[in-house]
Amino acid sequence: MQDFLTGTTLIFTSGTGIAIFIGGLLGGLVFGAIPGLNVLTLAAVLLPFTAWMPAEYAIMLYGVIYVSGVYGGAITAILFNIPGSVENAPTAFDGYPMTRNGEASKAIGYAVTCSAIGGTLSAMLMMIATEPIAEFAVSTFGPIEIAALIFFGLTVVAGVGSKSLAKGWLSLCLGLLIGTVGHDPAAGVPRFTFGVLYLSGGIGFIPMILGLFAVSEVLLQGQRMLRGTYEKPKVSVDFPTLSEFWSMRWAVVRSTIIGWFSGILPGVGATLAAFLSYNEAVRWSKTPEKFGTGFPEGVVAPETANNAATGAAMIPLLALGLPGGALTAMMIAVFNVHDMEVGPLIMVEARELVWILFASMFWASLAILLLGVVESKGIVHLLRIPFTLLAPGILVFSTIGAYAIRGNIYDVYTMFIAGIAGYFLRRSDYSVPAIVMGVILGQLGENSLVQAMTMMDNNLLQFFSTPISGTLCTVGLLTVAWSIFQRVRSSRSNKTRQI
Amino acid sequence: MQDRKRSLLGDTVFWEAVAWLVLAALAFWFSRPFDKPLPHFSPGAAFWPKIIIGGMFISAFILLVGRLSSQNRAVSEETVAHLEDVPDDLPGLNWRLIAMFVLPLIWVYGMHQMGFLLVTPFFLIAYTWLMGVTRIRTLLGFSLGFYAALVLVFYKLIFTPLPMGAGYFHTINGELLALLQ
Repeated sequence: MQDFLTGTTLIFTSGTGIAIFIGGLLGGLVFGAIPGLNVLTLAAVLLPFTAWMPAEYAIMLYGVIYVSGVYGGAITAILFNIPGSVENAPTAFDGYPMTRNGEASKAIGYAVTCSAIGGTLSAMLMMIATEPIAEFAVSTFGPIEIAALIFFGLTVVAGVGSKSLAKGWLSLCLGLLIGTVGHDPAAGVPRFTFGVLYLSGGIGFIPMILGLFAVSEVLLQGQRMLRGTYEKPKVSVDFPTLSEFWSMRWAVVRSTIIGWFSGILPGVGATLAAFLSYNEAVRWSKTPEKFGTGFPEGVVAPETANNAATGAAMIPLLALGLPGGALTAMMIAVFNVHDMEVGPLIMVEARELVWILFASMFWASLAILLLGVVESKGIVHLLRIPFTLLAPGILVFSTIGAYAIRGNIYDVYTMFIAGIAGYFLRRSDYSVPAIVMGVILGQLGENSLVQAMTMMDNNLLQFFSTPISGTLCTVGLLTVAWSIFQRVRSSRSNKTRQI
Repeated sequence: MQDRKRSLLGDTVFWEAVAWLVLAALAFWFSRPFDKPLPHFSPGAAFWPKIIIGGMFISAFILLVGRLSSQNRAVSEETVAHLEDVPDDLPGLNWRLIAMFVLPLIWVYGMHQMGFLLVTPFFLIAYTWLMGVTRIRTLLGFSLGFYAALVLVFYKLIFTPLPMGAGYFHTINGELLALLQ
């Protein structure tokens, strides 16, 4: 407690500290919300300037940007179906349908509150248990467990966003197959590249997501406009009630735990957290068929988890020197610039600095709640802009987002091709969320699968030899069997009704 | 019998299943060049893609069989009926709808050749008009105002690298950029 108070005092007792805190908060929110210009862009731009800042402000700035950036991307995902970054993509699965149902403000309310809860709980856990948890997680979760965890996550994906199980599985397989384009993770062998240089780098996540969500949405709504069937989303400023929040308590607890543990795992972090949490929300729901149609739990689960992952990501970073992603790797650079090295000794050598980071992330999570409540009342009015003007704007922003990541025009072509494909797939009841989850979880999963297979002497049955991976695989297989059983049962009951 | 055959040939789900089977077969065919054991990973680079292709094949087969069986046909029809509210009237496709799909691709090609700065105002005007804005004042006001805001934010404030075009257009864009910044 004493350390936390010291950290807080160091941030908020000077005008400069407060200014940097607020600047980082707003910068993260804005950059997180613009597709392609995510917080990494901001963090990379700011990195050279940190050399001239006192160490405590530099590290505090990165903590604040990290927390607010993860939340920022939810706003555009909810309002316009444009996820600001990959970890906000699952928020769009139900957030945007909520907007279409006239519940944009509620969706933002859920997102902001749950982001704040996830981030705050995560920051508190981070303060209490950095060292023991880091040791447990890193020693227990190896490639076998991570591969099993991703398999476990994939088993519910097919049920999201499509009423037909076969079409859900086909969507998932399509996503997984797209994820294999490029080089294989074992030896860098080119796969499905057809000698095209662009394909050898793999198909980018962000252009794919922008195409499947934003562009296909513009095409679908544009078609409705031309045919006179377009319905403007209703603008409401209703914030979720306390009882509505209370009904989400288990989803919040479950997603915080998932986010926390995903955040600890190096290299996976917030993206896996958001996707797994969404999948688990579907798995545990009594009404899984409502997911993808504007179900609040579909917003609560990923937003809680991706923010819970931010605090957890600090654990391997600080205790073991293992960054969970690009932004945490930049934090190592900030420490290095100020002649410090992250690792087990950081808690001794730079204890004050570490507690400034903890305190800044805690207060940033709470500040998001305050900003978000105000924001949810105001930002929904963007929906009053006529779609005729919004459509070209969305296309231009998405194009800039797709191009800005790698400066490659073929990413923009990919985005539009994905958009056109997404338009036809959505019309035919295929699941866009399953495709996206297939691409992302497939790539993460294959890396772990290859490492696991090598460790297991290529014997897949070895997945059942450790308690964690065995449990995950068994429950995953049971989930698949259950979903098939349910579908067969519902088909039979339909047949009986017909007779 | 003839009726059933005819209804099957006009059935989109049947053709979708066939398309998925063809895609799975093509993916399998194209995985052959890298379907070899690797020094440190004997299942080879095609191991994972082949699992996916297998899954795709089974799912497509289930879709096809499900469609062929009358019992699932009822379910499928019920499903499709309440899922997508976009009217499925392909004969009603008009040139504006086609332009909605094609115009962005032309814009990207133009951007590639002539640069973002030069082609984007024309795209904004054309797409806004296509979406149904016909009042000249609104059309130009929105398109040019939005373009000015884009230039201000992405070129003046955050210096985002955007396509500069090729050849002579690259030089023109470079000069415009120097003027702006």
